[in-house]
Amino acid sequence: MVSDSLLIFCTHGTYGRDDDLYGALLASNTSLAKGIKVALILLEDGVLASKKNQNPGKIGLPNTLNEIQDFIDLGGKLIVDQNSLEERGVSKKEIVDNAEIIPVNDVTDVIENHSISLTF
Amino acid sequence: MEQGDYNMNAENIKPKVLTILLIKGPYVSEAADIALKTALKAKRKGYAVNVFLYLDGTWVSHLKDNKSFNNPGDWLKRVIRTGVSVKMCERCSKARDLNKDNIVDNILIPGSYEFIELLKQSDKVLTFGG
Amino acid sequence: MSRENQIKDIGFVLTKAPIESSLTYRFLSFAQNAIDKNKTIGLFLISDGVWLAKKNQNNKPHKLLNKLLENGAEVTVSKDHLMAAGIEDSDLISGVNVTEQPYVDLVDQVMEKWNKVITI
Repeated sequence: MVSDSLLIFCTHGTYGRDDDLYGALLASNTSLAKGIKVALILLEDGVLASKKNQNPGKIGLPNTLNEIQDFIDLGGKLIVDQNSLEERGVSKKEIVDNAEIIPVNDVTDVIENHSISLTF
Repeated sequence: MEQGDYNMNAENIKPKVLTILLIKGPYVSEAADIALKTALKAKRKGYAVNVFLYLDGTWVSHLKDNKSFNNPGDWLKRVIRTGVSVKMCERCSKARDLNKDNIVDNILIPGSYEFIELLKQSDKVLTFGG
Repeated sequence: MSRENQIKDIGFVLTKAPIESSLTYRFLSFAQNAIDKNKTIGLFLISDGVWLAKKNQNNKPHKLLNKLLENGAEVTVSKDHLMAAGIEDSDLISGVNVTEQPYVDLVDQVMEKWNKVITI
């Protein structure tokens, strides 16, 4: 069987856990470049990666939003868990455009629509 | 093959492919042990198995020496001896100064595109360390 | 086909303790949601995940695991890790299957008994 669609759960989204987040985005964007359909679900602290106006210059790390924008530009589907946003006091207006916010009830459908998944 | 294992390598039957992604290093959690033991068992049951070491998972390749206590490096060597394909992310390896001279033998260090090719071939993928 | 031999729509490999991380509850919620949509679910508890199956806990993930069992989820628990944790079979909630060959059964469930697999 050839897997042609990939679901990536990104559960860490802060610069304190940059490696996990960057690893997820690198895998996502490389997959898109190779013609695989990719959905990236930001979950728990992963939703914080979608926050607008990030500026990590002073801490010496690259800006996550650049990778996220590449992901969107390459045709990836960015999904953000609604519950995780609400728990963290982040509103829709505060996150990047082109993200689809979904309630937990809809995650199963996303799982069903992809061949394989990774969890970061 | 262990006694009782189902032989999936009959003629004309292509074995199913399991890819295991390891993203955490040894000792900080059980992820490396579980990933490698799962790979070993899957290979013995006749599946085609790939292990890809990613992010801090690349550190397990550095465990070259023998130890008198639990050693994920030993599991890694066993996995390689049974014919499991073990690869590690080039970028992650460079970031951690890991290279052919300081890692277990017979591990390939391809670019990230190679990992995506593995995913495309896989029937199932497990991530350990997330 | 007996319930144990049925192919499950989605399988979850759980390696985290119940309240080690909010991810445990979140992914169990996905499992429950899938059941609500008439999907069949398998869970494999290994490493610290075996703690989910211990009786008499007072936390949301444990309560949700009980609910999943009542709703037909098939739950397998690694004996090796129960022993490591000092948990006897008599300490477990009813309805879980304890396996003395955890890696054999994990591989079998992932490769042959589950259509999709998610790991945390």
